[in-house]
Formats: sequence, structure tokens, C-alpha cells
Amino acid sequence: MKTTNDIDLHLIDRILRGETPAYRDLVSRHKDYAFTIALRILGNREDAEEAAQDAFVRTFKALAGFNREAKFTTWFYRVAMNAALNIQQKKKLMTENIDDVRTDATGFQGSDAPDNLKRKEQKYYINLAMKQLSPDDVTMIGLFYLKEQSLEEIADIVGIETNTVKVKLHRARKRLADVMQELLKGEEKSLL
Amino acid sequence: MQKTLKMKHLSEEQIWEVIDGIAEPEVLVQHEKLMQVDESYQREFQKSAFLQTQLLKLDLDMPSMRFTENVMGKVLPQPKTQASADHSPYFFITIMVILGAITVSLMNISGSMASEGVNTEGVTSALFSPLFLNIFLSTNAVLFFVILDKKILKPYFLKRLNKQS
Repeated sequence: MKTTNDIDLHLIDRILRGETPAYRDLVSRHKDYAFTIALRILGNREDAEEAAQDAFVRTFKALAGFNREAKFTTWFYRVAMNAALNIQQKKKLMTENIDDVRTDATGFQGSDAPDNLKRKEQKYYINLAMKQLSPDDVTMIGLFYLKEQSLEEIADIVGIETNTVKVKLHRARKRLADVMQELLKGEEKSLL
Repeated sequence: MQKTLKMKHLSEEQIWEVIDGIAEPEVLVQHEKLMQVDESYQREFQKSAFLQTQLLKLDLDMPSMRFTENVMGKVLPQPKTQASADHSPYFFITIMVILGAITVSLMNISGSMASEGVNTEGVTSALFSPLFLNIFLSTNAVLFFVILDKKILKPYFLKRLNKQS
């Protein structure tokens, strides 16, 4: 049975043999993650889209030099993360004002069923809290939860020791918990 | 009761190890005991477990529908269109040179024919007739607009469209 990495490597082989349109499949396979991690770091869709596209263009140009012993995703996620961080550095984004967004939360009161509403609210608050974190924290949480990478894989992607990843992930979750607490201010139980 | 009071809480890091499923067996045993007897530990653990549940619900966001096409557009900058666009200035110059050469040669022919006493009035009048000049100028105008469209207008609007999408 072919693994995800086998499929990626097969596509890369086709691209390197000159079948450039095969890159479309590689893009389709990884665009959601590249976009999501960029969106979490940058906070707006337009910049995230630019960063993700930039990551794919860079990846395409460097494809010939890809070390096949590593997983493609390990390499690509690093490129995607760096592309987002580069744009963030360029634009020096201001963090979103929590109070403004809290006002938007009233928009949840619609025709949704209570359970659905609660789910939406939970998702909303976790996303809102993520926006308050540093790119480093977002990267750790993003890699661990969105793509379910192991601590070892995250260490490879980010280029640090596994133990450091463990510590960083722990700190990121702690900060996220603090932000969530601040955002909810006692509403946690109602969301449980 | 005394036993409960003596039992030390797990550190936050150890609690996350339990949640992530990477805790050492002795830590797991301590966690299970604490969960049975210590309410404050239960609350602490549930708080982290709640966050874990939320994080596990995180979804991937989707970029715009044109995302893949936009990337492919950057990776493969439309080879055929690009090739013709690259050659269009040369094509324009070539046409100009050919038309210029025809004009000059016709003038020379008519000049030499006139010096030999041949009546060239017909040729020169045809060459500088309003019809010929109109065709010549219209061809140049059309070529000019084609190049303007391909080189400046089209790339500009495509870029704008991509930015909007």
C-alpha cells in the first residue's frame, strides 16, 4: 500500500521528468495545510494566500534539489512556514483587537440548533485564541494538531531537538489556555 | 485522607504527557489515583482535556477556488501565450522593415523608370494613394494595439483579478 509520502515522491518524479502539470496534483494535496498555517500566522486570507502560493512556487523551483530521504511534507511545511513568516516580517501585522472581535461573537445568535451553536462558538473561540499566539506557538500547535505530526517530525520540520519541541508545544498550549481563559472569562463551563 | 493529602499533583507538563499518550507508566498510575481521590486535580486535568478537545476540532481552512490555478500560472507562465508575446515586438519590427523596404524599392523602381522616360505616375500615385496609406497606417495601428494589450493591459488585469480572487 502506498503511503502519502510515496504518492508525493511519485508526483515529484513525474514533475522532474518534465511532466510539469503533475505539480497541480501536488499543490492540490497540500494547499489546505499551507494556507491554514499561513492564515494562522498572518491572520488574513489575502496574505495567507500570497504566502501559500509563494511557498509552492519556491518549492517548485527547488524540487530538483529535494532530498528524497526526507519526507516531502517535512520539507514543504518548513518552506510554507518560512514563507508565512517572511510575509509577516514584511508587513509587520498588527494583532487584532480582542474587544472588536468579541463584539462580533454576537453573530452566533441565529437559527442554529443549540448544539451546533455551541460547536461553532467553541471553534470560534479556539480560532480567536490562536490569533493571539506567536507564530512559533501557532506553528507548534498547527503541526501537532492540524497535520498530526509526531514530535520527531515537527523537530525535523522546524529544525530543533525533539525535547525542545515538547517544551515549546507545552508552552504554546499553556499560552493558548491562558488566552482562552482571558477571552472566555468564566464562560468556559458553558462551553463544556 | 492523609494519603490523599500526601499525594503530589502532576506537573502541567506531565498532565499533557498523559493527554498526549506519552506519559511514563508511573506517571499514569499517579494520574489515575489522583483522578479518583483529588477533586482539585480532576478540575485541573479537565481544564487541559477541554483544551485538547478543542484543539482536536481544529480544521484546515481552504484557500480560494483559483488557488491551484494561480500557482500553476506562476509555475507555468502559459508557455504558448508567453512565446508569442515574447516574439510580438520582433514581429512588429519585421513587418515595419518589410513594409519600409517595399516602399523604398517601389520608389527606386519608379524613380529609375521615370529617368528612363517611363511613365511612373501610375505607380507613384498607387503607392501614395489614400488607400495604400490607410492600409499601411491601419496595419501599424492594429499591431500597436495588439502589443499594448498583450504586454501591458492583459498582464495588468490578470494580476488584478488574481489579487481579488
